[in-house]
Amino acid sequence: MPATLSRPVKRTPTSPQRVESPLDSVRRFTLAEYQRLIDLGILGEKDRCHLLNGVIRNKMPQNTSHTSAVQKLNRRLSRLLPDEYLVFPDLPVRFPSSDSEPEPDFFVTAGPDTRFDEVKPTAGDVLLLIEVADTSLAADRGEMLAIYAGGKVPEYWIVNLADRAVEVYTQPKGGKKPTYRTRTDYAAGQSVPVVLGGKPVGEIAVSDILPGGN
Amino acid sequence: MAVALAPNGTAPAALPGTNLFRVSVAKYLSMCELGTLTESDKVELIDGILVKKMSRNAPHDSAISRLQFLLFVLLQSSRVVRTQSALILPRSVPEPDLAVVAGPAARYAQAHPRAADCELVAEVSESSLAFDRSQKLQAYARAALPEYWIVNLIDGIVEVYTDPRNRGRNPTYRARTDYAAGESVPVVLGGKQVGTLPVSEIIL
Repeated sequence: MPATLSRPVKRTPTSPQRVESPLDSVRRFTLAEYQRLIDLGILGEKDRCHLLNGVIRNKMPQNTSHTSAVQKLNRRLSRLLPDEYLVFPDLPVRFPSSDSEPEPDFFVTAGPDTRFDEVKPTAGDVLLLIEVADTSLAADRGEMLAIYAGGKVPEYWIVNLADRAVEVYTQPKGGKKPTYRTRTDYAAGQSVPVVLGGKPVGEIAVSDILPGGN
Repeated sequence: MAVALAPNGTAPAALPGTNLFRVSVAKYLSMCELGTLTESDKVELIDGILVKKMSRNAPHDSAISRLQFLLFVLLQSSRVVRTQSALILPRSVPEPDLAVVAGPAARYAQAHPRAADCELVAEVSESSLAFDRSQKLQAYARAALPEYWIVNLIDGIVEVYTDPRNRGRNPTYRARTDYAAGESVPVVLGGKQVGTLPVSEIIL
């Protein structure tokens, strides 16, 4: 492994926050109902929405630094990953554990290419999931982290643009308050190991995906 | 004597910070028609949000039934009195506890009443009082429904909201008048008072 400037920082993951109480009066949808709304054409491509904990929510518009980081990450991932892996940018993935169907910035599954011709990817298929966070940081560390941990996504990265770091969450713990047992932060100058299904496949330099390089 | 009060001012924005996807009236009606939502779903659409309806109790149902009876006696066949039935409004499809709409009844055999058909809406409120005074009130004011009553079981009064202001971001009613036990609520339809209902006969 190439030398890094300093050791990655181990941190205790913050515990996810409970969903706000006003949502208690909102009618929730199951994943199956949500799929039916899509199949019937009631929800379509023009509706920029996703299902989080049974509630249909708007997807946030993306700002420039977010867009740029996603583009850079896309290139790094494509170069790094062998053809046996599939990269899904901004596409839906089902989380039956929480009636959620988010559309993360990226997730990676095993192939082959034809694997998802007939079925939507589900949490159990996901090897790595990445969110690029600017204004969405609190949600990505809270509500989204709980959804991903609840679905036992083994590796969850938050590319934290404000703090110029990549937060890597591992060892998901399900149950009533899903979270990750481990968080490791990588700063500019360091490289994040890409681990898929327990197998290291390479690494991505933090500076290569942050705005302005170093 | 009836007390005239300033209305509650601007209603709070619905569910701040939750970034909820707003469902259009057309989408909501499709959900009902295509069976995504069924009768067992106790929901109504308020400003694009699918809101679960509160569970009801005996005092609530009793007040609705009293109000329905009194209005029927007063209005006879000149109007249609509907209970817990859908109204199609801009951005909302509420199911008010009671609605007085223009007749004849046959005009609603194939389509729900719309804002222009509606002369009076009433909600019987106990646990839902805060919601009925804010988000519900805003939805009714946005549709410029001329008369909105809240039969307030907590305080034993009838709150009458009139003079809707539906321009701007936070529609509301300009006037609120409260009627307590011993007083009578004027029934004003199409700008004309057609009778009065004693509060003590609505809230037993």
